[in-house]
Amino acid sequence: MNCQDFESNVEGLAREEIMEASVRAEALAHGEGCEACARRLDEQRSLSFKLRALARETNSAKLPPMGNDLLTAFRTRQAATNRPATITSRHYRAVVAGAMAVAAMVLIAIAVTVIRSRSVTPAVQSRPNSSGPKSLPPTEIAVVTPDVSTPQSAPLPDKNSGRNGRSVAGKNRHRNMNPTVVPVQSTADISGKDVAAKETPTSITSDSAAEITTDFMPVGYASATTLQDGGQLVRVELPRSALVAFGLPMNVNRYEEKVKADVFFSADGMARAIRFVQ
Amino acid sequence: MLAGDEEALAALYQRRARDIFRFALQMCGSRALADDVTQEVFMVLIREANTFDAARGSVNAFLMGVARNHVLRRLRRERFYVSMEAESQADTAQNVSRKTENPLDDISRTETIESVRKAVLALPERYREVVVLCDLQEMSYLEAAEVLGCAVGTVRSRLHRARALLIEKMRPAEEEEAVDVKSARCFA
Repeated sequence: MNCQDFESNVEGLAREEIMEASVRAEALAHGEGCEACARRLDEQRSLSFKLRALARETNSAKLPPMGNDLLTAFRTRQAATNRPATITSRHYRAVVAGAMAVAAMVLIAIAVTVIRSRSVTPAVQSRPNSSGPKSLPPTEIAVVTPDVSTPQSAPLPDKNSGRNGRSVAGKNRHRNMNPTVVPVQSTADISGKDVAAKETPTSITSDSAAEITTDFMPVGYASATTLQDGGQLVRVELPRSALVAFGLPMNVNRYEEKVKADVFFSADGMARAIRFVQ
Repeated sequence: MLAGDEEALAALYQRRARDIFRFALQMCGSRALADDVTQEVFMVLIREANTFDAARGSVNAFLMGVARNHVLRRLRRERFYVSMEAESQADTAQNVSRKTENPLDDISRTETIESVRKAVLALPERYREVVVLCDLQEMSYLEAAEVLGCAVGTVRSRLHRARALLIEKMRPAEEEEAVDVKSARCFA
């Protein structure tokens, strides 16, 4: 064994490690023959001796007892582990915040809906007034069955009767009521699904409320039974002299002006009744 | 202990706390800091016992690894503070000398131990920990490697270097002076 091999084993010798007997014997033999390696071995043994002394001195130090903090922490940890899964404070806060957010969104949605509904309703009601009767086409027709059997003096129009042209026609057909002005669009337009068509009855009510009509007066000699089949009501303009023909008074100063009238045509296309509109 | 048995915790403390305390005391030289580290190690064990994997090492290696991390952290944190442990160590030395029959031998022994302690504490941390584990705690190279998380060869080489540094630090003052004089003659 040379000095380099001894250097690699000197620590094992000094620390009294377990090593092969042959290697140990060769290292000790080299140490006896080499002064530098012998000195090196002595230094290492001295260091090991001092380190053992330090270790023994440290071992005599009193170990701190297991404090109550450790036991308390252990019990707390075990209690937390054995506790069933519940909502922790962080989760609770998150859940509360989420619920509040959802509630706020629902309230906002409800408020928006209410505001929209309130803003739409006045617009629908005010639209007929803004458009006026002139927006209606001149050939507005409706299927009605006027009662021409008993012509009477011109009454004021019934506001409640003109809310819906189609319903008015139905009611008049079944109850045989006196028809009033029903300036409605065709039945196809009434049955439309758009909003404008739905708003039409409101405008009709407004138009009918603005007009004053006479009762229907028969034209010719048609019987009431032949008129049960229905027909078409046509708005026309006639000379004011037509009022005289039906026995109504006429203002002579306005004889050149036209007068509006609703002429009822039966299913066979014959004019059966007429009423004058102011 | 994972099942909540306090007696198991107490038994584990009695069995392992001494090694941890000794390691911390030898690494930092402060009894108060060693007490704190020992408590912290077992607090970590209580909080994170489920992180222990038996396949990666023994319980002792796990605890010593945690203790090492805490010691190094505390040493770096308290690097700029001056230790007042010297007075308590002097008291301990006086107590030891009072208990023995031969005061002179005891004083010499105490001085030797103090010099070794100072030399160990003066080592760099990576050398100090291998000396503490292998020489003071009498662990094998393999166990020390598990604690330090390095290879066995690294432990051997670090220990070799650490012992050389210790010998150099503990060389008698007379020899150093002689060397200085000798070198002075050479220069002359």
